[in-house]
Amino acid sequence: MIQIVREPIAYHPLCEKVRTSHCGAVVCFLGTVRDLTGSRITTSLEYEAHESMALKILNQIETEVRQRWPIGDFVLVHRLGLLEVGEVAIAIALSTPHRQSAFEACEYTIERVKQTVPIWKKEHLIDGQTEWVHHGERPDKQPMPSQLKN
Amino acid sequence: MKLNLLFFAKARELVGVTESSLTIPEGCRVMDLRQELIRVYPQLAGFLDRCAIAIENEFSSDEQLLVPETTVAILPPVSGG
Repeated sequence: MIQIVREPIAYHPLCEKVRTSHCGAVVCFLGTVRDLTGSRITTSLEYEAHESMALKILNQIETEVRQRWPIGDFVLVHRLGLLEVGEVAIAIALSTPHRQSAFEACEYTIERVKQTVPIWKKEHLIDGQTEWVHHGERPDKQPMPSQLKN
Repeated sequence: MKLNLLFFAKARELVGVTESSLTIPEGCRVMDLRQELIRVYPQLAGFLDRCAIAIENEFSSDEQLLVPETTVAILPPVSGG
């Protein structure tokens, strides 16, 4: 299940949702707003998306993950809008029969999201400055994460 | 032919609009569109090379032929999560 939302992410029910009787491992990842990057003090992050394309690529990522690992259930929710320090920007929860595949699948998912899904954040700094975070390369020219290379 | 343009994040702020349209000659490819975008929006020079161009929600290649009335999105390096 993939969702893009504008309200706070209720992540506890997501972890419950993916629990199944044949899966012995549940991994839940939360990406939260951090206050310090080096010496820069962030007060909030503003997220925007090319929403229809982001949903499409997130669904493609779920398909890739389900093809590669024995997923019991999978949920990913990304939030847009203005988020304060400490708030949850993304929640990923998934289950597999054994822990190694759950950790690998979750790491792969967040790496792919950060490489290629058309969602952007703008940092609001304590001195009133704002700056788009565009550190990476072209989102269509990204190598596959290492989990798929073996 | 006419294309619908969508700009996001820093690209949107550089051009000053979220949506626009652009008329280009028939037979143009994505690489030609990149040049035309720089001509119309010179403020994108130096940044557009780092952006992907998506056509109808699919990443495009530079050689891809453009089709009239399609929606073209300018996508800067992403920073979700």
